[in-house]
Amino acid sequence: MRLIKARFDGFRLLDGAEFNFSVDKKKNVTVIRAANESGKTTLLSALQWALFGDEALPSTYTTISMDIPEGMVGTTTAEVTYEVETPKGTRRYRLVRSLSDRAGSSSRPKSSVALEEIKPTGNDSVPNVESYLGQHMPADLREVFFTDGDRALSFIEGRRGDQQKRVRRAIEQLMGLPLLEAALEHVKKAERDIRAKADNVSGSQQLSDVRAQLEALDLAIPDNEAKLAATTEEIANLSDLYSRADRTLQDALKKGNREEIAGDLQRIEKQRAASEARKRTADLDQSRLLSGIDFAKGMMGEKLKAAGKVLDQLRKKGQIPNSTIPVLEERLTHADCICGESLDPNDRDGARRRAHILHLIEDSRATDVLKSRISTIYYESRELTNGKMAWHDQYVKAYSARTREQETYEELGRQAAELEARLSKIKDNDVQSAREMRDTYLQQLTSKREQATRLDVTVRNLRQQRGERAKEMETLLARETKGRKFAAELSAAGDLRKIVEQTLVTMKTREVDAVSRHMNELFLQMIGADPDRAMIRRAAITTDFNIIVYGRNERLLDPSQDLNGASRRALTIAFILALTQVSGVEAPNVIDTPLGMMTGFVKREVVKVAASSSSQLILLLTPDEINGCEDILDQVAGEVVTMTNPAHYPVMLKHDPGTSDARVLICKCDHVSSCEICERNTPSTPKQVGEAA
Amino acid sequence: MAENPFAGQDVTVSDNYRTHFETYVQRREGKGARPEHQPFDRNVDFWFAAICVAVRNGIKPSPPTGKTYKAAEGVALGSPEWRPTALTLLAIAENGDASIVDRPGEMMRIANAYAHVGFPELLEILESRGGDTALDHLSEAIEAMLTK
Repeated sequence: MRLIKARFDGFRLLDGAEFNFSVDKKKNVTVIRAANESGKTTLLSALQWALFGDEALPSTYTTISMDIPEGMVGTTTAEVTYEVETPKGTRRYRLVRSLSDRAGSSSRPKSSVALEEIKPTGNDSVPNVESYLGQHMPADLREVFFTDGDRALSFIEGRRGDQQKRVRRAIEQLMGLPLLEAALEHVKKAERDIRAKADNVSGSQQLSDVRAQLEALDLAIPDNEAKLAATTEEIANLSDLYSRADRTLQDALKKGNREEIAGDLQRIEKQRAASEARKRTADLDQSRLLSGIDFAKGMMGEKLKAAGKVLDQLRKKGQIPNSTIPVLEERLTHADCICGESLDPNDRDGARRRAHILHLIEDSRATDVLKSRISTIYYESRELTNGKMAWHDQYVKAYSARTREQETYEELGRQAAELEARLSKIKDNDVQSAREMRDTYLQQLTSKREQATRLDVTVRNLRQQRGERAKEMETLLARETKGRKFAAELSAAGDLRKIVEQTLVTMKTREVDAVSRHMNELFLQMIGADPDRAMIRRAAITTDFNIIVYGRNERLLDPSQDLNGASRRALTIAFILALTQVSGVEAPNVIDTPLGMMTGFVKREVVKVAASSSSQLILLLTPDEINGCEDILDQVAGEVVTMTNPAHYPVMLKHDPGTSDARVLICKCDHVSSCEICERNTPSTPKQVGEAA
Repeated sequence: MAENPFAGQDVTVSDNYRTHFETYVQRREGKGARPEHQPFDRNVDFWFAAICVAVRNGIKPSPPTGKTYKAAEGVALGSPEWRPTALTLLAIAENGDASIVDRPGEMMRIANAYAHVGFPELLEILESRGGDTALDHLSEAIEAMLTK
């Protein structure tokens, strides 16, 4: 199918909106340029509604214009012209779908549809339209061919099981696998019918028993296969959850155990308090130097020397030391005087002499107080006037001690701050809850794996039993004359079933492999991966329908986590393009905002690769997405139009569009030009507009 | 010194410096004091440092004028025990006569006069510390004075 043109009336923002699509094989790209909120997604929805009917839109989706007042009726019409290649040549069709709806109604009415083949001799109305449309563009392919950058990510994002289901469904639908599955069911039913007839004709109890067993096995096998498939899907999801929980646990462990960090912090705080006390002591030691004797000696040195001189002169004069009284007192402790006379208190002369000395002591005491004080000062001053002045050495020592302790204190402070920061990032029981979560998933995973093994064994046994019973039935039928015909028919049906089954298996493996290889080529081309140097080495689809990516050293990467936004989008677009190419289905790829989050090389390559990999490519792009790809679009775009929302005036649009209706305006401006309708303000212009207003 | 001749005397300071005692003396804040910001243990230590600065800088002593207050009792000068000796020697040097040791009041007047002229110098150092601590800034200034 190739889209030729489309017109929409009364479809939300699209009213009287006509689009021509490029059918030029060399310039197979159609670009619809539109800023955000200018109808791109509406156009994607409108095309799907026109081609696939009401099922293509959510049931609550309202098609009529927002301008229609509540309670009033509005009509939506879509008219699409397309062509399809048939063995008899190209046929062109015109499709008209319409509905009338009341604004504010809770449900959307069913649409009516008409299809006519356009012939040179006049148009032929086509009956049974939906059936024809299904042939031209199967509804199952809608989500592959009509997509947007975000929705395409669902092939690699979300629950693993859901991803697999979406990828498998897309591949199976596009490869026509459901048709083969239906054929297989058909052959199985034929086998059952033949056996039933043979049973009726022969009347043999043994044959009847075997047939009953086969019937039971034919029910049990698909039932167990379905259970096995469901369990396998659950395992995939649980594996995914387990991996994530394990990663969360590893992250939590990297952050550290809260209790351990809290313990470390407490220890550091204790050391810090001790360091603070030591630092205070060191401060105190240094402060004491400012009141110490060496400080006084240094600061008052000159005066102390001057005083020392005065005292030395007194000493030279014999006034220092003042030793009269001490000498006399000392003498009284002896039995005789220094002159040799007795000082014995029992002797009369001795007692008299002693009394005389005591009298001398009392007389001297009053006059010697002054001399005594000076003498004391003289002796005590030596400590201050003599000896080395050591203040500098003490200061250096004290300052060094303080600096050392300050550094220790600050280092401990840094450690404490770091631990506090780590602690604040860890929620309560972070490690514990992550471990519990991981262990729970592991437990469930183990249980599911055991279940899957049991189911697998059961299915194998059932298949083996079925083979044995089928052989037994053939033998029993061969013994009977009437049964031989049925035996031959059964044998033929069995052969047919084996062929269809084998074809299905081959299709599933070989075609998946083909899509996988092609997707890899397109993806690597899009991201410009060098086979020897790139971080991303290859992408693949596994046999269980997972899209995976390998990094260096064959390291498995999770596309949803390990790829950047641009690479994720490139991968999904590569998958869609590979799928459509391998399937051989010729249909337009309509992609809304495919280049979001992409810049530079990747963006340009995605446009190039998409254009060369698609039979017809319709890109709905914002001006930002176009930016940097203009020269490529010059080469590949056969049709370019611009959609403009008049509601963007005056903030984003430069000129008054002359209407305030809720409908987009379409002009012929291409990806590089602009006109009175679509010219937009540069970022600085809105302010100027405001000022002018 | 067995006895403290200044025990009966008062450490008298101009009222202008009262707030500075509160700023730079630890004893007022007890355990909460920070030696790096309050480098002096007691009022007499701050007062004695002012005397030292004045002596070192060779400033002529001048007794406090205007309103004064008793910053400490002379008994506080008894410790450390070398301090009364130092103050006595200062008085002898200033007076040129050792007999001044017999006149504690006069010795105290000399000491108070030195402290009075030393405070502006000492405070100029402390008040120009900027972002530095009082202890570091004063220690560096003293170090500079002593190596001059």
